Amino acid sequence: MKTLDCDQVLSMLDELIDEAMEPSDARAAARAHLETCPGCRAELESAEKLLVAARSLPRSIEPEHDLWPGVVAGIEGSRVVHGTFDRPPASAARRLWLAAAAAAILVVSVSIAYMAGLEQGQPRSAEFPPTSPPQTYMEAAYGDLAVDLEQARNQLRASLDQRQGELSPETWSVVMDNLDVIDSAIGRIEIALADNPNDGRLNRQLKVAYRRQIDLLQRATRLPAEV
Amino acid sequence: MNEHQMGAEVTMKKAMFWMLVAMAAAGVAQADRAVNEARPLAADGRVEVSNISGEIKVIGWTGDGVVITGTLEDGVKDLDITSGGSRLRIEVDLEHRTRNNGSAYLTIKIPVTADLDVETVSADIWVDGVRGEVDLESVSGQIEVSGEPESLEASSVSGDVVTSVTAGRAELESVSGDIMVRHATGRLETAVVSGNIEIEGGVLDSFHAETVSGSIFCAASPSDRGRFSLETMSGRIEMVVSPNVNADFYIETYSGDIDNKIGPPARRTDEYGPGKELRFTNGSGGARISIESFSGSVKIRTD
Repeated sequence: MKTLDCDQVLSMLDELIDEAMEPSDARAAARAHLETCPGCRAELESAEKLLVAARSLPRSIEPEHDLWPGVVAGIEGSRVVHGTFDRPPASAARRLWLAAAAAAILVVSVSIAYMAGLEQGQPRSAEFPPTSPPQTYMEAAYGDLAVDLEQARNQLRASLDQRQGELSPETWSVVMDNLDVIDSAIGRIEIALADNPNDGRLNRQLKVAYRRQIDLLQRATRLPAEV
Repeated sequence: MNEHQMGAEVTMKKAMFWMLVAMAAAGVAQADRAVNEARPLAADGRVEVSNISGEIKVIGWTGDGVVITGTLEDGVKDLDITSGGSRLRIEVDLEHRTRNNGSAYLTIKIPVTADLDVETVSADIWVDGVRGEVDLESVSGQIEVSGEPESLEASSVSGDVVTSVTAGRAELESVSGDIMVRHATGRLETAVVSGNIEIEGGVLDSFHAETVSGSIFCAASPSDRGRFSLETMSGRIEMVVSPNVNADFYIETYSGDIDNKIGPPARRTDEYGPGKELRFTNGSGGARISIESFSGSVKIRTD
């Protein structure tokens, strides 16, 4: 059985979790490395926890108020967060983190929209209308994943746009400029990925860029009102 | 009007102008209110502070309870101080919650072992000598921390985050502000988007730095089994290490350059692609230094 170093094992984590790794001797080598490497083991446990958490998300979220019309209006009126998805089929690794990101954004955006709806006292509705986004993690993860992710990001962005009047022009400008910085990075990495779709480094970097974007959007929606 | 009369009129206007300035200044001075308050708090209590504009200085001291001094400018309605159990909350209440309309400049002495939580919008935050858990957040204010808090979390949007002599665990984050750390130990996590990260001195068990377009400068040392991870998209990474450092280096970049002054040169990862990587062990190894960039350049040099 060949031995693997940390980088090789880290690049295989998603496949290990997904149990999609072939051949089996590669899996055995990765497992052997994990037994002796606390750092890689911690990475694996972290990824597994993320997956478990994502899978434990409710299969449907029924808000007390009908938020969707407002969210749709916000989406239609908002700038689309850049990022194209008409790329070659995503690798298993990329699918996994995209799914986790989509799930995280969906929950966050629904929560934010839910809170916004409560404040606005919108009418009660038992369930999302048919135009609502996917309501389960698995649908988001393995259905039309890219579209779902973009839609979820746009929801978060729409929530942020609703707060523009509460933030100072300077803060708003900083947030927008830095979202552009991240968008630009995502665009450049995706172009590189189009040429090298299985490049582990690029997939990791894209993951980090999306996470930064999510972090910034989440953070901006939570900033204290300034005006 | 002759020349003499015109000169006299100009002199009179000047005098009136300065009189008005003096009156305005006096009016402002009169609008400021001094703060001098004291409250009891257990040594392991928690202090929460909220302020929009101005400055918050917090000092850990060995005296009893919490002492608050400072100035409330015009536009500040009141200083709300509420306590419950082991918590003390200090909140600057504005007449109109708008930025730059009512600044408060407060110096707060708290028990050295107490926990601290400060939130501001544009107000600067300055903390020294607090050894409990410290959590600081500002939108555009600068955050400056010295001392050895048990743990430190500091985040800003556009303000800089500056710390020195931190211990334990520190998580520092900004969007466009810079993060500057001096003589840190323990575990340090830093993240910015377009701001820069600069770490000087100190021996760290773990250090993670992450930027999108900002640069990373690291002149801290890893402990024997320390783990450093520096990542950027397009920023520049420069690491200064001792020539005797015992560390394994893993450096990768997709389209940037790698300039290594202490070990072998980088090699291309693909005959036709732009990638470069560099892996080598300096000394006996042990510590792990991982550096990764998309298009940013990487430089490793000695002191």
